[in-house]
Amino acid sequence: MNTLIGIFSLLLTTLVLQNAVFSRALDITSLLILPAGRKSLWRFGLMLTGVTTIASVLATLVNPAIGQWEHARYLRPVVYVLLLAVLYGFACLLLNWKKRDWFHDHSAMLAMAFFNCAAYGAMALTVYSGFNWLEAAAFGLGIGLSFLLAVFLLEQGRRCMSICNIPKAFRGLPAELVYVGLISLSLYGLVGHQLAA
Amino acid sequence: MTVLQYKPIAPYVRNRDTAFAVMMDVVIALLPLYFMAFYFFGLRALLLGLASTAAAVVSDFVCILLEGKRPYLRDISSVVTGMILPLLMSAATPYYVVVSASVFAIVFVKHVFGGVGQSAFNPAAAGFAFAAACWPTQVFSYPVPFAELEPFGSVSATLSNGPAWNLFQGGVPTNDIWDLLLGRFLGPMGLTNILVLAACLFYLLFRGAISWQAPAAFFGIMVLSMLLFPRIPESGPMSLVYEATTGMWVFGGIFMLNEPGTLPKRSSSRLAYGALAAVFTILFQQFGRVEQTFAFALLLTNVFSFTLDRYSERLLRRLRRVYLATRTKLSEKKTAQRA
Amino acid sequence: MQRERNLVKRKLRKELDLVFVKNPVLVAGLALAPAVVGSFTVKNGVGLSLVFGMVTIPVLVLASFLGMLPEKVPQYVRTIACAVLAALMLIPARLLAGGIAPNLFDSLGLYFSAVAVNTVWLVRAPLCQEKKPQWAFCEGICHTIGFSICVLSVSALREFLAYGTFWGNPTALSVRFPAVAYAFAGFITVGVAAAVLRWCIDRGHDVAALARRQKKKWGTQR
Repeated sequence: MNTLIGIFSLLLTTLVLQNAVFSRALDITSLLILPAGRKSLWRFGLMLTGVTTIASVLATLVNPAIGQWEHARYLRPVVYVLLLAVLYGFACLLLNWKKRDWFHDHSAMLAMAFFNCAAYGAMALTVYSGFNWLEAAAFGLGIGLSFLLAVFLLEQGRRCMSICNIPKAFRGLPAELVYVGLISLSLYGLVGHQLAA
Repeated sequence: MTVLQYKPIAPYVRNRDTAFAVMMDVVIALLPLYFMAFYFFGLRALLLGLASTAAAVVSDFVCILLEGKRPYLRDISSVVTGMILPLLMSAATPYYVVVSASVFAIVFVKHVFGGVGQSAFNPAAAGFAFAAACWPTQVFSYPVPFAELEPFGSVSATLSNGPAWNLFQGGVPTNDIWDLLLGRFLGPMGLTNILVLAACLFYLLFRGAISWQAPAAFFGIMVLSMLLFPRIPESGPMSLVYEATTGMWVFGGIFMLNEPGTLPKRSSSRLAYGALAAVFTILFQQFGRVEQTFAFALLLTNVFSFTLDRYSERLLRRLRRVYLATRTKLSEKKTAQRA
Repeated sequence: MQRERNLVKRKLRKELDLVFVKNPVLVAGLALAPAVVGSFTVKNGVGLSLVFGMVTIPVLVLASFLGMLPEKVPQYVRTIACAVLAALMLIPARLLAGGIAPNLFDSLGLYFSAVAVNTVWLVRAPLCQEKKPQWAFCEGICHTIGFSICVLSVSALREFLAYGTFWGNPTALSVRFPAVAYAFAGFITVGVAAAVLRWCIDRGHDVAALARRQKKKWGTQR
């Protein structure tokens, strides 16, 4: 029971207090450049959630193999990116075999869901925090869900901004960045001051 | 092709609720708070207000010119933002803090999203949040009331944390209850005088400068939660007195929650907006790591302002449709029965 | 001969547009995470630019070579090859970064290595497959310059405001804004930088249009 509560609180902490997008700007690019219409951003978010969950569990399982030698911390990032590449390869093979049409339509989005800061950050932060595989799964899920939360909040912002008379220079990406910055400032009240690392 | 023309019906009633009149009412309501701040902390309180207002007005003017628009002299919303900001902070706050907060509020919050009436976030709340993030020590260290503060430069008086800090740490403030009610304790310039704030609320409601829905929902939920779930080991009513006299939420619920630019436009969504602001404030108080969390909670509530309007409209439309459908069904039944 | 030279010029101009007019970060919105959070000191900015260059240029050149493979080779295999090269390029980048400042790797945290999975190469690599290697190299360089200009200007401003220093050396600024080093200020600074760049580009377009109109007018009179 205690483990379950611990896992749930870890999930909530990752989702709200250490929101991957607002406190670490992980995968902010996909949030801003992917087209918001036709639910593509939500679909991408779900894909990303799956990737972060599996990747962070894999990272905890692979980490002991790298060991604790002097330059291990320089090698780890390389291993994480290679792991992502392997995972991506497996996913592509599987989807190409089972759902060819779907894979053909979503191949660009799939690549973005695998090779992005959120997937990499989930792996790096899981190992840095010393989680076991269950906690890692909760953490990865939390990072993916925090991206979905950010999608939801930005959707509200986009609707609001569509009727605002925003100065020409700020329309689009700049105003959205400032909007995300102000949400991040509001979450500062929960987190207190800290530098993301 | 026939063109429908809607002719206006006489008599032509001129509405007094122009933006200028509403803002002027808010400025008038803020003046007693400045008077009390002057009474407790001397000339420095007024000068802080003046510096902040001047910075807000000048940055507003510059932004309007940069956008290539014509300045509109009857728009005094930047004056209101500039006047609210120092009241949220300590009287010993350095001038650069209030000036920076004002400039941040006007430039990066008000004008980025289109200026007056269109800001996506409350400028004053964002300005305070920025100042609290940058200089927490200066913003949350308070001088004793009636301490002689130097009007210019840095302050030599001893500064310390107020009862809000005790509450934040989970302790019970040791202040006398009358001192708390009369505002004679360590706290921000404009938030300590609960009686004056209550008078301001009634004045604004009576003048029609603010609508009743958002404050009613907000204060209702806040008071209930303070009474039922106190966060300190005290009885409900005592907890309410401590929280209401030391927290920013009373001031914010009157002056910041009802800012016309960010408030939803429909009355039903205003109720929901007030309730949501209260829920976020309570959550931020419980789990936050900053002494005064209302401004942060309000920023998050602002995100949902537009959505609440949208969904309340949809909900009401659906309810109206259901109501009309049942009414026609009933009338059809009645006619069938008669037949 | 003249036509070929004009073609090269036009291509070069198109690539050079990536520096300002189509800046990868401020206009296209790519590789935002390191630019937003990592760039709070100039040293970090230089480190990020270095890693970005070390990763993006070789990957784009590789993508161009991969374009020469038969069409049977599926796109995802090419993406994986690019990702593997990006991961391997982190090793020389780390060695070079140690030469700039010994603690650069640690102060940038996960953003140092996150550059290996930046969206610039992910988005541009499929397009570079149709280019010749020298033009892919040129594009990589232009992307790196565009990224560096953005990151260095943002990081210099943030370091100046947050710590009152430049490359660790104290400056004349007496008032500090410590929160400018936090993530929220990173978002706002990059947003404002994007707006300023767009304003400048619009003014540039206006001036160019005016000049063209003047030229046309005077040209017809003559």
